[in-house]
Amino acid sequence: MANDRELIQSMLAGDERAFNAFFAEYFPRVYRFVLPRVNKDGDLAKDVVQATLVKAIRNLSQFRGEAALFSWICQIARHQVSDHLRALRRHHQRVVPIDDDPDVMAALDSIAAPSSDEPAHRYDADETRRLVQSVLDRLPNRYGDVLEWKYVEGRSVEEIGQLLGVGQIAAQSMLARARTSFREALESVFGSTAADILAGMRSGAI
Amino acid sequence: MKSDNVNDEDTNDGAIEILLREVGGRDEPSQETMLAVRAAAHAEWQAVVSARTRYKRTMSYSLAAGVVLTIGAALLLTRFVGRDSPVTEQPALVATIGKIHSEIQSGVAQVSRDDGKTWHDATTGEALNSGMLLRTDTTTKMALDFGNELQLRVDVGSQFKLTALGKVNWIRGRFYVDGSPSQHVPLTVQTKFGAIEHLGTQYQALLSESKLIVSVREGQIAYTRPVHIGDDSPIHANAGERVEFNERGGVTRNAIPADDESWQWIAQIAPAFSIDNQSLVKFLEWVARETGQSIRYASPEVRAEAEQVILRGSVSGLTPDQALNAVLSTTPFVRVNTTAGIEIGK
Repeated sequence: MANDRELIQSMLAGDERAFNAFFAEYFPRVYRFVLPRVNKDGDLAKDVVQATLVKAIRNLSQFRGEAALFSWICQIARHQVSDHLRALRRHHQRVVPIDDDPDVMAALDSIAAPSSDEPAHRYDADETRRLVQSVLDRLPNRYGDVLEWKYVEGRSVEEIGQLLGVGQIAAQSMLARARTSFREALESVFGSTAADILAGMRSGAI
Repeated sequence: MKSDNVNDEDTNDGAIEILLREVGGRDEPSQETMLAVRAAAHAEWQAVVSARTRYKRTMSYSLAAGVVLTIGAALLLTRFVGRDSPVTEQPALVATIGKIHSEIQSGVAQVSRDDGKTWHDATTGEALNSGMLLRTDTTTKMALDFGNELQLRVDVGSQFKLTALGKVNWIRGRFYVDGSPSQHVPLTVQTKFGAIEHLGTQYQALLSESKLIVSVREGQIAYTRPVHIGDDSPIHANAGERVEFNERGGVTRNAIPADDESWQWIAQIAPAFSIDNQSLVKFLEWVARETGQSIRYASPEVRAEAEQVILRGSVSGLTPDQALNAVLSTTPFVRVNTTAGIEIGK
């Protein structure tokens, strides 16, 4: 969160690199946060994400650092989704994604500062898939990207190093930290290990 | 124990790998979406930063104004000297470059002072004199300001010459003329298939090898055939008309809506609307004029409320449609796209 505050201070001071870092870090994550909440309507997601980021930037000086910056932006996004859906009346059926459940929200928000008394839930395979993706988006320091590059896209450590602009050893070390962070986050949100989650997905529910 | 933990961790790491493969990659926004959202976010960020450094900016503007006044005085002096001089006629200042937009970093608009022998890259704010030749590459558009709210927007792959004050010789490509309905500033564009004069209007024209196509969005234009046809009676085209003039002087008329797709290229080089201290209604009028879409209010009460909303900040760098989304997101109002245009509601 100290990093969040530093980033915001640099942005407010007019540092273009800080703006670029902010946008690169948060735009795709906010987009993924919004998309399932607007029935996967890409055009509407674009409008909502744009409105969200504009509003967040306008109110940056009011960010107090009590929650992670991403959680704060997500809160703005939730309001924007409601406003847009209500105004457009495009969607007859209100979508309530699993990660808008208050307990799950609390568990996701706790990823940056894990606590030990998180609830255990049962989720179906689709919910699990979405939650795991949400966990990736909540990991700090681009750990989510690193894990996705390695295990979903099958990139080598060398390629990951090139993407991050660091050497092979640093990339290897970051990958190890990303795995640890992801493992802890899974336990915080699901109350179980990756192996149990996997088994649950395959058997129908966890 | 230690050995067991390591084994557990190894097993779990293997499970992490399989779990992530099973879950699959996360949704990625398209490049188009990214660029549109980035433009809006960037404009808002710049407005926030500039508001925080307003004092500094005010001082800078004072200095800049001094420089502009000095340059203006020098230009005026040049014009007077030129007018009075019996020896050489100085080229007149006829326009300035208001905006340049390129799809790629290396894209350019260029200016030639010597009839195409040498070219230099055009810059925003550059003063343009009569006799200058201008061109845009296949990725770049630009907008010229003629003063008194008269603007010429130039599409990619175009070339033309500023022959005199209010006179342009179009060589190739497409252009759009936006003249204020409230004050008429003459501008005649000469082409190999005839001349077009705007009569308080928004129109675009595309010059190809075999014909000239003119579409009128607002007001009226007058067209005159080339001299060799031997008929100089003017032909008028009105708002909503798309007229083709061929090399033999033939005329074909069709209808074209004000929000037809063929108008969309002008959005990227629309002049920035200064929203600071403007009412939302004024801003919406600008959006309507730029996009060709009619703006309707859900009720008279909504319009009255919109009249009371005073805007601040900047929409610089945004197309009119992006600017509309960015502005509305900071107000209680929302847009709904209908077949009749844009409806503003709450």
